[in-house]
Amino acid sequence: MTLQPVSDSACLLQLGGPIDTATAEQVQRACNWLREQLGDVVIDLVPSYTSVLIELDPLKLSPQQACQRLADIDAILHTQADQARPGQRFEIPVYYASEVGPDLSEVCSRTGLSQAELINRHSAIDYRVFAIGFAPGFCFLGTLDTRLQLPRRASPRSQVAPGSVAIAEQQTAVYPLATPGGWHLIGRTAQDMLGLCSDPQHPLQVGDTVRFVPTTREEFVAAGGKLP
Amino acid sequence: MSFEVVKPGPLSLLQDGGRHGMQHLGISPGGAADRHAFAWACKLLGNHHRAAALEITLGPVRLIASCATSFALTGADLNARIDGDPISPWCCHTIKAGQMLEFGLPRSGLRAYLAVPGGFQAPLVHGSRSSSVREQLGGLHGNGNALTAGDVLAFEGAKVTPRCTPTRFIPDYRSELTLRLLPGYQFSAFSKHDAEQLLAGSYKVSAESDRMGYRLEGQAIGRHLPGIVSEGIAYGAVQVPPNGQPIVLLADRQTIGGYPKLGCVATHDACMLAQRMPGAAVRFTLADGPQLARERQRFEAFFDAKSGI
Repeated sequence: MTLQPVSDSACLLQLGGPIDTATAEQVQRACNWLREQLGDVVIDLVPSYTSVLIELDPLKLSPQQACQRLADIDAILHTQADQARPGQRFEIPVYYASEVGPDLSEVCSRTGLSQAELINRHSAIDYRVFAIGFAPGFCFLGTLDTRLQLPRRASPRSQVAPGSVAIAEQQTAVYPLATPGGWHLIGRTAQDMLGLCSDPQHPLQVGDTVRFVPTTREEFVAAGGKLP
Repeated sequence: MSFEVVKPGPLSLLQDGGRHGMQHLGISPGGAADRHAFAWACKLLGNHHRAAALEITLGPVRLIASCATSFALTGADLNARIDGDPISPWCCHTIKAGQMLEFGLPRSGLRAYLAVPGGFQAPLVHGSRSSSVREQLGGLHGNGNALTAGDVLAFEGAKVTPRCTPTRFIPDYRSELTLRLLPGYQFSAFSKHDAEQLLAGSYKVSAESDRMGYRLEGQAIGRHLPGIVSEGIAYGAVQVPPNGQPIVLLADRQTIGGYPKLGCVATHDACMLAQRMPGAAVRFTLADGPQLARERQRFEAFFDAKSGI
């Protein structure tokens, strides 16, 4: 574990370790502890797979002072390892179909799975939120069933429809707004991902888990989902 | 009171001090690309840094005042005129009802800040009025869009004491810029040779530079380095993609990224970079962390709403 000043107002905590659920839990614990320790000295905390960027209020604490004040973090995170706060679990309804998931049939043929089998496998796992970024509310979820793992598309789409549910390599995600994207699109959700992440009471955060639940076309439309 | 937009220019955006505390949601902090010039515009009027100003990039803009008002103008010299009469940047001015405030092409710098007493009115989106075009958030209509003809920029207005920025605080955007780099992140993964090349060479601002990041063209470094696990990107971070050409990440940067980084340049220097046009020369030098932190603290204290001019 290392903690270093990286700018005139930020420190980076690198936890090291593999990209896995144990590290993701440690990142979540580190964020909770940092918020408790630093309070309103923190302007932004940016957790990712194995690190946390800490942006400080320059009027209150310099990065060098922060590193000194947080020198015990390694020992503290290890002693707290067994009192982990259980993460929350979110269910996200997905309409899996070619009309909203233009890569569904290609993914089936490349993986040798039937459409029903692919949907079963994609919705049978609790995914961990490893990072949120790329776009507001874009959650990087893992780890994908090995049978579903494919490299990214050779040529990314210039625009992906909002709500598209996608897979690439070991990860899966929902595109929260119209952005370019190189992942394979297999379905769509009406769920507002940025809304989930910014919920004032129970926000979806790095370290939480997400489960996709297959829904019908009618349920998708009734929930406000848009068909092409 | 209001300004009516007759000619919006290529990229005129409402910006404030930024959308902070939202990066864990993947929302970029955004805000004024040149916080130094923006902070001066706030200071001249006694505005809080949460008050939105208009960031005019590159120029050709025409606005018509609906009522007599004061305003402050800082940043780039875009050849501003009121009904044809030239006015100087880095000062407060007054305009009468029906008069036209016009901006031309840059004579120095790239982005001008037009601020009005109390700031321009716009919906608060995740705590800020800053326009983020890529994220479709904030700005006049809340959807991130740049200004278009026919938009009306409303504000409350108030009487202000006319003031100007003292000459010694006005930067020369035409000088060669040296970016003071605090080595950090993956700096030690770069070879000694890479570091020498970075510090010895002169880089040019690429045409593909924007509010998200400034791409620099020059001596390639660190081409052998693999990607890293995506991590949080601080303001002013210098990332090096596989082509070896450094990119300095600015206000509209993405929150996390997976290219190796050399560290971050000083906030003040990143502000100065945001005023450079493509082709401008840029150099790097190494800086001391505690010294940059003290300078940043002084910057924030100087522009804190509680301090006078």
